[in-house]
Amino acid sequence: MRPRTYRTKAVVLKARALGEADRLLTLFTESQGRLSAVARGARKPKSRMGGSLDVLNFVEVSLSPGRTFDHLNECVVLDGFKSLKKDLKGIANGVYLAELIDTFGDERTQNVQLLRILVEGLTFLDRSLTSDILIRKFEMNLLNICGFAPELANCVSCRQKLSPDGYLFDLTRGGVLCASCEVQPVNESQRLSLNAMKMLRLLRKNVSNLSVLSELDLSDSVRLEIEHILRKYLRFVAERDLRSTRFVDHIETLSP
Amino acid sequence: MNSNSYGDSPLVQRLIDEFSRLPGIGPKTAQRLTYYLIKMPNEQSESLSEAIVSMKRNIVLCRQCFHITDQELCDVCTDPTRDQDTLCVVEQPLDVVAFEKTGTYAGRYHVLHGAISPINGIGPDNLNIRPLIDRISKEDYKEIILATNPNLEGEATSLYIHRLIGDLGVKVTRPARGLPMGGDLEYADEATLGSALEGRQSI
Repeated sequence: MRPRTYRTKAVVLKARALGEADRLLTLFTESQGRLSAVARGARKPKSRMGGSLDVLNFVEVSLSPGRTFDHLNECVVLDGFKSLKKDLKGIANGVYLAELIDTFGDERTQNVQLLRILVEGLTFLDRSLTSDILIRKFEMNLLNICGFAPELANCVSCRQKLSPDGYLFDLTRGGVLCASCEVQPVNESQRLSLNAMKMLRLLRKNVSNLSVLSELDLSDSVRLEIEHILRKYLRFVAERDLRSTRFVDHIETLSP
Repeated sequence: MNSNSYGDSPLVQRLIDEFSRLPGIGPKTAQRLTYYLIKMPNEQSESLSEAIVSMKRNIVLCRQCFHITDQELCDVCTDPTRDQDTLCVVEQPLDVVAFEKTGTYAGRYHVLHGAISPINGIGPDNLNIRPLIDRISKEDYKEIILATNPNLEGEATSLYIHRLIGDLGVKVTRPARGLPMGGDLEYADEATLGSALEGRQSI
């Protein structure tokens, strides 16, 4: 039998209005992965929980299992990422990270690593380290944890070690083809430059100090290239569009 | 629900189904409302259906502020006694009603009909932000109050609008956030109490 109430740490991934004054939240919890929970009366100004349950908040919650959704009893904010929320770019990127976790995290399946990279990513954004490389690192970590890490060392077709004379990323096979194998017809692919390939390999590695990554001096074309391929690959694996990317791109076009 | 062949007649069932589409109304409530209507005098039920039909036929959005009205311009926009210098931007028509109840605001409104919510695919183009920018650049406002909801989506919407109108030289404000009247301080959440402290005023 499930316990009457349980406590867990969680990040609020999204929220929507429910009924008169309730809010339906999607949480990514430490103990059970993604789950939906109802916060009764959370939209009323006098609600004790309302302010704590904002999207992207890292919280500790007490929940009781319900018939369809679990119910929230109590909520303490561990980190509200306040400076992130004062910045449009921070919000756009934060919501993007949340959407990725929402898409790739499984319902009621514990995955502590996903929660860890999400909190880590939001913390970085909050310290206004909004470097796009850290977003790329997050995407690569996510693919890694979910078992979709791209093959970047050997050709996905002939298994030979890749040589630096031309790389073609094959989305269906989740990795790079060597020059001699790419004559075969490939459905969805993208050509990669040597520098982009190097950067992807670096992202794939375990880096203990993430701020090193944000200090790398990269040309705009390489930045765009790896952003493009990772997004394309994520979209392919997720089998759907990631909606918040549109807003992220739109924000980039605005004058500061 | 239709599995029982001796249950409700199809006419009754249709009304039950229509009621269950309304927010907050489940199958049981829908059934209760329907059976109440069956017993109701004809004049009353006809008046109800007529009210729904005429409301749906005649209600439009105000051409200027997008509030709900039955004319081309809403009452607030046509009232010459209202303050012409202040514009209050809100998410929903119900927010206009709430502000009107306070009796302390005498300016104009602009209803966005939503807030930016990237994860739900709602971007700036899905809201009445373009018309708002046009309005602000054409008319001579002294203050724009961005009264979107105090949550991430409302915040994103306000920041976005501020980014667009920041260099128009008009004063842009957000309503204060803090403690609700009649509440107990110890039960306020951290975010609210924190911003109440930040926005404290001398007495």
